[in-house]
Amino acid sequence: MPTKFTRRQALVLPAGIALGSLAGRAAMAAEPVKIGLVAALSGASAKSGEGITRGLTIAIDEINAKGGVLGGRMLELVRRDDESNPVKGQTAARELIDKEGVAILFGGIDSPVSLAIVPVANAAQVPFMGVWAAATNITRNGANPNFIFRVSAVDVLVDRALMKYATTKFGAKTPGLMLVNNGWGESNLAGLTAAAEAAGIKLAGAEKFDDKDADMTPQLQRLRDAGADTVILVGNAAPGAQVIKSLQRSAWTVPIVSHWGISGGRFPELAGSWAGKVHFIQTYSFFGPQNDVGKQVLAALMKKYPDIKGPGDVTPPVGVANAYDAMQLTALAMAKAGSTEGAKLREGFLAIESYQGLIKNYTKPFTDANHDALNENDYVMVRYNGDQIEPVTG
Amino acid sequence: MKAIVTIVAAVLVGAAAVAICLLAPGYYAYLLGTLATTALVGVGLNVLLGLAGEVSLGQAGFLALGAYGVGILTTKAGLNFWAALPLAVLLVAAISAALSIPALRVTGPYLAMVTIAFGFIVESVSVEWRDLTGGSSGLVGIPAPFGTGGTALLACGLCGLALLWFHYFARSPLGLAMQAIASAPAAARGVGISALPVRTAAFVLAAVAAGLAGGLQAALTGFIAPSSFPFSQSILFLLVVVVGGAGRTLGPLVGSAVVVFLPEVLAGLAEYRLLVFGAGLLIVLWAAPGGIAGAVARLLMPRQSAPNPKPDIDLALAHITGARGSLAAEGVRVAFGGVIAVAGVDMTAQPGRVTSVIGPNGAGKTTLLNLVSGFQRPDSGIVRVGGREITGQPAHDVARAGLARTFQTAQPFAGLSVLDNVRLGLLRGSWRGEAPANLARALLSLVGYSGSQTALAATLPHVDRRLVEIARALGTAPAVLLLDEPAAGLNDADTAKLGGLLQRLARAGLAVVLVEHDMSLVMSISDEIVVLDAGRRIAAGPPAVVRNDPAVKVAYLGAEVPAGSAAPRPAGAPLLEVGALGAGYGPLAVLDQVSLKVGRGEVVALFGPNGAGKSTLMKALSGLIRPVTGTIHLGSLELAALPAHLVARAGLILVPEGRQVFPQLTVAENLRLGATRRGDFVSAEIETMLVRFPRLRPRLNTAAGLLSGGEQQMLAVARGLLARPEVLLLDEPSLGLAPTVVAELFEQFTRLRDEGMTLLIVDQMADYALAIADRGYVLGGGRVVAQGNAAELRGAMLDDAYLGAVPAVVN
Amino acid sequence: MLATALVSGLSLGSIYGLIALGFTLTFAVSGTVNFAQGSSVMLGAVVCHALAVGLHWPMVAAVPVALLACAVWGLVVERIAVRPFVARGTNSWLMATVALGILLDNVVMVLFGKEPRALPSSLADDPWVIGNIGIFPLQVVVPLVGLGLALLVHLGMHRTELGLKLRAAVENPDAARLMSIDVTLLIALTYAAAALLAGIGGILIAPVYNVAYDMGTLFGIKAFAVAILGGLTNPWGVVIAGLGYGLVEACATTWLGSGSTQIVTFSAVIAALVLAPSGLFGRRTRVRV
Repeated sequence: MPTKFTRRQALVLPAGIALGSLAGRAAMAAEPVKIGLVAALSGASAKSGEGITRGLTIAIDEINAKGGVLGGRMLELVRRDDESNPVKGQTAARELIDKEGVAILFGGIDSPVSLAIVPVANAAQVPFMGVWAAATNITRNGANPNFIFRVSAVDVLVDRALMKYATTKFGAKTPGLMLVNNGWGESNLAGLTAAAEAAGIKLAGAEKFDDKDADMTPQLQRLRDAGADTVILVGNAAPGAQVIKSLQRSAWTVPIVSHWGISGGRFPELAGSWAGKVHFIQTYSFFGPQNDVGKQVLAALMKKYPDIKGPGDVTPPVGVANAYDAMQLTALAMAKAGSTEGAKLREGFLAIESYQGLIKNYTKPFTDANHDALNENDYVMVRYNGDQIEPVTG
Repeated sequence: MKAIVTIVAAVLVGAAAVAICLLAPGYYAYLLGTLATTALVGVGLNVLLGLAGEVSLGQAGFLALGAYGVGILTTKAGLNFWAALPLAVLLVAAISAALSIPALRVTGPYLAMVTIAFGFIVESVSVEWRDLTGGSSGLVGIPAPFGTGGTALLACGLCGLALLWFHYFARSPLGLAMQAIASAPAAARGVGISALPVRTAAFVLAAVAAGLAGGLQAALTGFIAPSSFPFSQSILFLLVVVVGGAGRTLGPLVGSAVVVFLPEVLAGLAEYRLLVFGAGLLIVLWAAPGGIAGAVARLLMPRQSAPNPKPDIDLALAHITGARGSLAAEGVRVAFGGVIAVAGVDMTAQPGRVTSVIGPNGAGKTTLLNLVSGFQRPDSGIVRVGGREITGQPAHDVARAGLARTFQTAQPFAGLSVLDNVRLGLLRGSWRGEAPANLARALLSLVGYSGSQTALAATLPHVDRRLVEIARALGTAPAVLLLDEPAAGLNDADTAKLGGLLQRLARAGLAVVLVEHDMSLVMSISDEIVVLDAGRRIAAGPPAVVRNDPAVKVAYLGAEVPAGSAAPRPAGAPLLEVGALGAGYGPLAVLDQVSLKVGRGEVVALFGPNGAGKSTLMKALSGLIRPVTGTIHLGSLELAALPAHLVARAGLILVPEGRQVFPQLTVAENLRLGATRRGDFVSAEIETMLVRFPRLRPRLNTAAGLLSGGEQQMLAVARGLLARPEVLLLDEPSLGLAPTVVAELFEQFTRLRDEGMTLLIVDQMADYALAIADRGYVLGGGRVVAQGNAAELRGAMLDDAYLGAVPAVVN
Repeated sequence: MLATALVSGLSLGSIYGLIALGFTLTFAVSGTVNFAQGSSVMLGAVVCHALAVGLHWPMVAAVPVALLACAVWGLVVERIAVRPFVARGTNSWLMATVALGILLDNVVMVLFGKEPRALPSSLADDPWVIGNIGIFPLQVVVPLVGLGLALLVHLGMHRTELGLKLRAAVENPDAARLMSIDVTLLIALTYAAAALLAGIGGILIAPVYNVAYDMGTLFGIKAFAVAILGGLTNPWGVVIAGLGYGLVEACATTWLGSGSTQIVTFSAVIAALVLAPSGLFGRRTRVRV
């Protein structure tokens, strides 16, 4: 039966909470350190939450195997489903902070959810680590002190890179935009518009699609009629694949440049034979020659998850890689801070000197002015070859 | 005592809420705030669903409007929260009032669709109107009046006020009117309630509560985006009300607790949360049909009726003698799809007199009642109440003009208490104003109601429903009181009391109009009788005159009386044996210990006045009424427990009253369906029926609904015969048919009899039925009052049974 | 541009019509509908995918088994979420079907996975190109199958004994019982048929769309709008309303932009109900006193 407040419970509860939090503090030294994750675990973006979970889990296992943090405290992952709904996300964040007492919160794929959590995390002085959602104002939120960090792309930078790639590689003069109809798409609309302006070119138009749209030919037809010579795509794997299928159906052989969302699922399977036409941006690829960390993480993933039989099964690679590096950086920050207390942990992040990570070698990843660990130099353009992601050459 | 417990409980809950908000201002306060806003939406939806009985699947849209109103006014227009919240709520009220214009033209699933569409439109607009709404990224930094704890406390406080408000609102004139419309729309119009404004009020109130909750939620979360208000949220709000208990004051609170806390308790399940949630909901819906609050209330608080102060009947008499006026109809006429139901009838009902309208079934009595009371518009003619013309006015205006009525099937407002039923009458559709309980009690006392006044009308026995309905009608202080078959289903003692009551009301100055089948009642209390047949007035005058009018006799008993009875035949072995059968409709028991036998090859007729239970018996035999008590044996088969289709499969075939052909299917298809019980139908059999009923031959591929009444009856009989019945039951086959057609039909029945078919026939053309019957039974008041062979039954006894004297027991 | 809109509008519209036809069947006989009809759409596609892709069954075997699963699901819905509530005289079947839909969606999420999958089909890989527009062969097949099925339903209703019984039950359930027709069984069968039609819709849309545990929701809502527009009890009205809805949707996207699609379609739904409160092709129910 559901919890209901009986009169007695309602009276006892506040007292219990007060006592509980006192007791919690006293017993902290022996307790594990809880790591919170608020991400989409169900719904259309569920796969992203799973990817982040896997990345975090591999990193946590590794850290725990080496004896944990802060002199022997183990890390423990506590996950909550936000159902891609900002209200649910904020509720979950509050619950993790106040009830579970997590040391840090990790965020998921949905920018609106992260945006809803940002003020809560700042007010509670608990660091929030974005590992996917790329909206610019998540980290640049105006708060001081700012407890929000990110190991992920930033839309403005990605958009600049995408636009540059479209103009240099394909000689685009009037690119058309296909954007997912949510906050992420909007963030990129602003970023791409600014990037186009900076590059001195005009956009043919910007069309939106919903995650569940079954047919995007009308939108594409509009772009085509408006004279688009390149399509820049921002969306997740399934709807992104719908765009490609619709393109294929319209037999419109236009160059396609895409944000990294399409790597968050089984894009090649869903998009069919045209999947390889899409050039898209990545922070990390498990294909090709790996550095030592890459080899080690891949091995750990294959050991832990039987469904992973090779690099092609690490989906979505972005979520796994970002989450892994972010977790390792968090452990370093805890070591620097010597505490799991929010304000100290924040200082700890800012004090990290360097870390040899999966995506790159981080040097001073976070500073007062910059809470984004990745920048435009960390992006690679890749495309699918069959199930494999390979860098675009030439 | 109960009040004290309630107050103490409320204070404790309130104190707990304050404690949580102040002592644990983080997650728990936030959760409590979410609970409060959810419950607030629930309170509003409880007005719409619980009181007015309409479903909305767009409450998330109103929630979003309120939230965006506050968000935009604070972040873009720079207002503070206290100024923004009322403005936002006002905006929601205006938008919902505008939406109600299209929305309330429709009802049920159609209304649900309009609200769904509205929710999606709000979502899309909030995405598209980027300058104002911040688009998909939403609005950040919405200021709160207090911290999380304080804002949550504010939400809790408003939610508490809303719950308190609902408690009183549900019993206020407007709240009662909503429940009246939901539970019996026609009766609601009959007491002067105009449905559209009341439904609009419910719709707007529901939206306003959602808007208020939205404004609070915006302040509580500090952030809003279109994805905060998904369609699934609207479903959750509906669940809040249904799971909590629709119409219950605390229902939304309990429902919100489930919908808000259950997922939190299950939060650790992560991706399995919704799975368990779905299963849990199904279990709650299944286990607590009246919602959790309803189930708990039933367990904890048995309804006790407090001792009532002795009512003052003079008060009631003073109330009903206020208005005086006659009812006058001139040349009232109406036709439905070419069939003239009422053909230019004149009638007058004077104050202080009982005027009865009688006539055989299908004569147009109820239609006439509907025409003069505004429930149907006459094609032509004039209706006046107290000299004022009310022709074509809607029923609620006619009611306010001083005409009150009751209904053929009593229509009390089932979900309301007896007292509230009468108070609704006193209010005459007014949204405010007084409905004094002592006056309501006095009216109940006047009509002779002596049961509990706090009991729900749904729980009343049949006779009390009638009385409450009459008291309610009297509450409107009418000049004219119309009663549609008030004695149906009453026993002799109750009928006698009813007669006395009606005479007293007439003496008090009311014009009482009675449509009634019980002739002894009509003859004993009427000052004037109007007789209708086939939509025309065939006689009028005092009872003694009408009773001896030859035209009336013909109308009731049939014109061409066939000569004599059939030759006596040896009775076959019993085929259909009915033992101590009891049956009825819900609280209305109609049949009482009916036993009868039909031998193989025998023709048995059933007689008795309207309302005696003949058709009920036919329905009970054929399985249309279940459950029944007693036994029904067909040969060695026991049918009393079987549903209709298995009774038919066993070979007991009913040709139902009113033919009941499938109107859009062709004659051939109707015939084909008759043979469903057998696997060996061949289309050649249709030919045998065409030989039997040659009139059907040219109509074979015509839709059955286009056939004349006589043709439809022949079709219904032919359809029954194609089942190759063991026993064929014929219920009122001659009803509403021209004499020549009746004769033709009975010729066929005679043929069937000669072919050895076992028949059980009910027909108001008693002489025809007697002409072919071997034996017969007379029913009265749901019991067998006489039986015998045809010769024994023929005679005055039947006249009396039909035209109003107690039948003597023969045999 | 018009051609593109026509192609996608008609193809999607016929799917909506197909799913909405299921609403019509159950509503006509029982006055109830499965509000989680979208879940049946999903079930058809998911089972078909699991068999054809997961177990490498040939399509000719996978499709009938998937449809059988849908039919069984329809029976389950009627038995668990509709009949008990109708018997009590409440309209909680609405909520119960929703709850059962949530349950099915999430069970499938656990069993099938969260990730959308593709159902490959040779009919949706190589488009026919005519000038500026291309059409997957499947997009031609879909409306044909949709109309074909509507015709089949029509013929089934008018040419078979079961259909005759069904029409009788629609017109007068009590009289149908007197003809020894088991109306309760018929209601269960309409639920099975409704789920079956939805399943066909799911399998048809899967190759152009994707297969995912939550794919049905939006289809379910749009199909409900279509059913309401068509008048709930009129099968051909529903099919026409489905095509109309698909066309309006595609045209709105083409000419007004994708942002306005839902605003236009749902406003059109409201407007249509204002003009025709019982749906565009529905019969007005007479008010009886």
